[in-house]
Amino acid sequence: MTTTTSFSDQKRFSQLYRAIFRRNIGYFSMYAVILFIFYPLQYLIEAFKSLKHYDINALTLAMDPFAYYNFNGLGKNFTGVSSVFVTVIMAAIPIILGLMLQSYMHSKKAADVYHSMPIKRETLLLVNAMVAVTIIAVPMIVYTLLIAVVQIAKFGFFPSVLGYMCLDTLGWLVCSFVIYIVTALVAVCVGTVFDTFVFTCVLLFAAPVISGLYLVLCDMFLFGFRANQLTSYLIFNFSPITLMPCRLGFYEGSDIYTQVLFHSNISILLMLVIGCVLFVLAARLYRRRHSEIAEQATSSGILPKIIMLIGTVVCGVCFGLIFQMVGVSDNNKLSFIMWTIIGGLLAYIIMEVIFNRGFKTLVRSLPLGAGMVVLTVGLISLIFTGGLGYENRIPSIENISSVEVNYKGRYGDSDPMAVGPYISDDEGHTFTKRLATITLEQKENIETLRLFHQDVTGKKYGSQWSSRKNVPDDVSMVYPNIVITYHLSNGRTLTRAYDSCDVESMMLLAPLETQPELLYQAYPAFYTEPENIVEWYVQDMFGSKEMKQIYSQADSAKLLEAIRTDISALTLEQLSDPKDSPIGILSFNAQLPKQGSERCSTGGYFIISSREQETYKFLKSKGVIDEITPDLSKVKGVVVSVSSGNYYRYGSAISALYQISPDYNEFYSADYDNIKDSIQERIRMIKEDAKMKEQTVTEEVYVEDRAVAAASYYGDLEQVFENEADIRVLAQAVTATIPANEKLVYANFYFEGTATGTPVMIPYSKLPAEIQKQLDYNEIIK
Amino acid sequence: MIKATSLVKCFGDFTALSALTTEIHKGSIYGLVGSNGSGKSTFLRLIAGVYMPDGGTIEIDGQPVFENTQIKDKTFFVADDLYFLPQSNMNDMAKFYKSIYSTFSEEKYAKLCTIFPLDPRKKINTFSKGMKRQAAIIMGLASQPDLLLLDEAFDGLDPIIRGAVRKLLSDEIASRDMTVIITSHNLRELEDLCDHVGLLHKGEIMFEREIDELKLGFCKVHAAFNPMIPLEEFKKDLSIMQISATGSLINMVVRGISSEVSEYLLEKGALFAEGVPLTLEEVFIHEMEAVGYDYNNIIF
Repeated sequence: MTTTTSFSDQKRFSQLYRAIFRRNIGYFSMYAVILFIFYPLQYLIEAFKSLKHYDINALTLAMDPFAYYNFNGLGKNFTGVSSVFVTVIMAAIPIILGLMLQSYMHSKKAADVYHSMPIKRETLLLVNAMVAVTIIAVPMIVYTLLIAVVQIAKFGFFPSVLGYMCLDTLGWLVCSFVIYIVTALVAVCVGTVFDTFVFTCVLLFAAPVISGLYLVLCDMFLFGFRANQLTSYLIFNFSPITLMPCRLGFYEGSDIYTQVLFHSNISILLMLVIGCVLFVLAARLYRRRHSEIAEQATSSGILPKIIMLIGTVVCGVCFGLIFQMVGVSDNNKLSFIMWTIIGGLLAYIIMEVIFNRGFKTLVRSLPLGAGMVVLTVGLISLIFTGGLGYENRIPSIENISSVEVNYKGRYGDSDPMAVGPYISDDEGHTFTKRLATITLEQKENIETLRLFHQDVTGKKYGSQWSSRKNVPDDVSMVYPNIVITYHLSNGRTLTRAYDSCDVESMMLLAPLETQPELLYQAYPAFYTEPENIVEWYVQDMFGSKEMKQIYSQADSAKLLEAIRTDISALTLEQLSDPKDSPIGILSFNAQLPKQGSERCSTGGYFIISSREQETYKFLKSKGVIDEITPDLSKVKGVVVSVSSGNYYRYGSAISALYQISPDYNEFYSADYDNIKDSIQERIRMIKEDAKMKEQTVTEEVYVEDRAVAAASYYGDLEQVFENEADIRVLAQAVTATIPANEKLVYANFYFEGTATGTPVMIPYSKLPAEIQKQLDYNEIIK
Repeated sequence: MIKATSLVKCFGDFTALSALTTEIHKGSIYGLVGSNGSGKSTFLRLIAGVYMPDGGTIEIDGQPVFENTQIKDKTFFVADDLYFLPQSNMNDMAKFYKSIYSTFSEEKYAKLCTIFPLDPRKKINTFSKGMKRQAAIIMGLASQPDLLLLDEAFDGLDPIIRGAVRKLLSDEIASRDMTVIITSHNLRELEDLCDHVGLLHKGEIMFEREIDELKLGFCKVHAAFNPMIPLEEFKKDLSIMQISATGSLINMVVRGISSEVSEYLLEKGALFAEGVPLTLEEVFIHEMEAVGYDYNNIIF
């Protein structure tokens, strides 16, 4: 009649579950209250805020009821405050519960009671996990349901938003479950609560931190590497503690939204699997756990070694980065490795002393620490030595099917875009998508790009840290920020990014400027439909005269065709060394195609560079050209600026052939007299400084040295030209395009009665010697 | 029946139990004595299933103990360092054990609460050391185990309560055939309570006997000789653990029955010979001296 047989494991499980839950009801209540304050209450405050201070647009509100509310997350169930606090709460509570519910393992006397009880250790672990899940999940689910009800009542029924809300809630719960399981697993493996807490935190943050640091290192030291946005997001998927907070930053319509969301959803699923696997592992380890390790510092076994390795790697790399940033040494790589070794060893020693509660085992364990530091340095060295051929890898032409590149030539500042309706959401919104790249499929164009790539990797100029010193003084750099993605025949891709290169490398891309493959994708005139053009503008090169023209669709079609013909007819030689002065700039504004388009633009421009061009003839026939012919006699003066060192190009489009854009506005004040005074005052100061230096320095100072000193101190040299002859010379020297490897000056023509116009470019070599002299520091300080 | 065969338990480099082999029969009160660090508590924890053996086996009724819920359901372990749930009172603890032990009896718990002078609604962390010990014993008895393991069970108990506990244990044994294994340094206590005793030293059972047999197996004898005969004479025929002579008076501790030893000495010409049985404490001290655990030789 013993009750033993009727006292099944199931009954024992449920009774123990109730007993443990009852004991933790206080914590449950406290957590529920805290979560209420920072989750549904914040939502209610935001949802019922007064919109009195907003300039409400009824149409906007009708299209998007959430438009005037600051909700985060795809489920629109978080506010700014709740995003921060729920993140903290949902990370902290599972760790706290994990520490509390498993604390009996870390007390000898508690272990005596729990481990002598007639309940299997796996069951005990499961009961604790169930209690933790109950405590965490119940308030979260109840509050989310409350928010969902409020959302439907206040904003309406949006299935996709509610779906995301459910998915996100599931994600938060899965991540909390995994955090709890990691804590429980660590608790099983170690002997004290302190070790459990430290080890758990290290393990939870290790993956994103190490991957992030490695990406930073690759970004800094690996020539051609750049972490893209997707990769940066993916790092957060590696840990349950960062996965869900990262999702709060998602919003529909962003470029990489679909990819990131897909990976994030997969990660939630993976987290669930990982959580279950870790639980099984924890249960197995717990079964074999020695109760006697309770209250003992955890210094043996694989786990502390893993923690120490993580600590050594992270601290070593961080030390290297910190001292790299403060720039304590000229030799970047050597200095980085030296500080990595110091930081890694220091971290190892500190951890060894903490884990073993003293210095007794330090000397004996130093070889292991040295090994960990060597491994850290080895990982860094992989990057420093070119990432196992990463830096020099360029696919052969036979293996390339196409190349995607963000180089869009001299008209690259006209951003092409794709527009709906093929990209739209359920609510009927239309999205535009910026097309940042062009695709090259013709072999000769691919080869042109390969030659550029080979030249850049051969020189390795301009890597942010490691190779900056390698740029010779006489080499001019440009910063095109080029990203090349090779699509290979085997379906794989290879991407390289270069923020800078020298002008000679840049010039290797010049042949692309005349290639239809580039023009058709990069220049708006080639893909803009005439019916979408709203208006045309014609201005002279100096911006002194501008005319707005409204043409019929037929005329717009003719003009577009004329531009296409003119652009297609230009040879590389004509572009590199234009014989004629440009006549004016023709630009248009366009509306987005209503029917949608895979490539369109809201505007474009064309520089009319010859009287032989079809565009010129069209505008001439319309009588526009005569209207925009500048009257140089009305020029008050010209401000000319020449770069003191490398001839850096202003503007947004950086190409092998540079041309001025009408979008690029003046960089001087409209007040000519002020400009003139300040420039003249500056020239006087430069001369005075040079004279003083000559008098105070005892040894002889060469003019060249003083010029270099002045240039490095004062920067670009500016001069004002008011002589009519000089003005005409300068006006005639203006060109439409200038090769990247040619020195140029910028000139701003100030006309009477007009504001400052567009700056124009003049090849330095085309200026008469007298003017060149006035733009030379050597001559000024003589 | 509890059966330990070549039981080994190590803590790092230290071997607490080395090839311990013993059998403890059902219904007995087994006293486990031994020097500090001899492995008594470790042995109890192995029986309770708290520790996993590093070698050998420990079985109860033919089944291994570790992670065996059926066996552990019939076993209750009262450790030397007691643990109660944080902020709990005795009623909370009773509820907790009730959810774990199938044989836990609320009636018995209520009855025990009337015997011991404890307030079951008062938080246990306000109890004195002895009161906590009483609370633990109450839980142990209310769980009605077949095997009760008591580590330093009487530590902190006053003489009245000690008597009460002894009585309760005897009643449980008599009524339910419960087995009790008890460790204590208070050998006088064990002498009165136990029917068997085992001496642990350096992780091994040095000897184990029924308590009566143990007492009868050792004796302390005083004898007078005139003239005195060389002490070596006795060593040939008797298993002498300790011997000393003062004038014509000889004092010796001998393995054997006192009457037989006295008779032997009279045959050897003793003027008189008188033997008395040893107390358990004396047996313990002499046995320990025999293996070099002799504090009499310590010179300060």
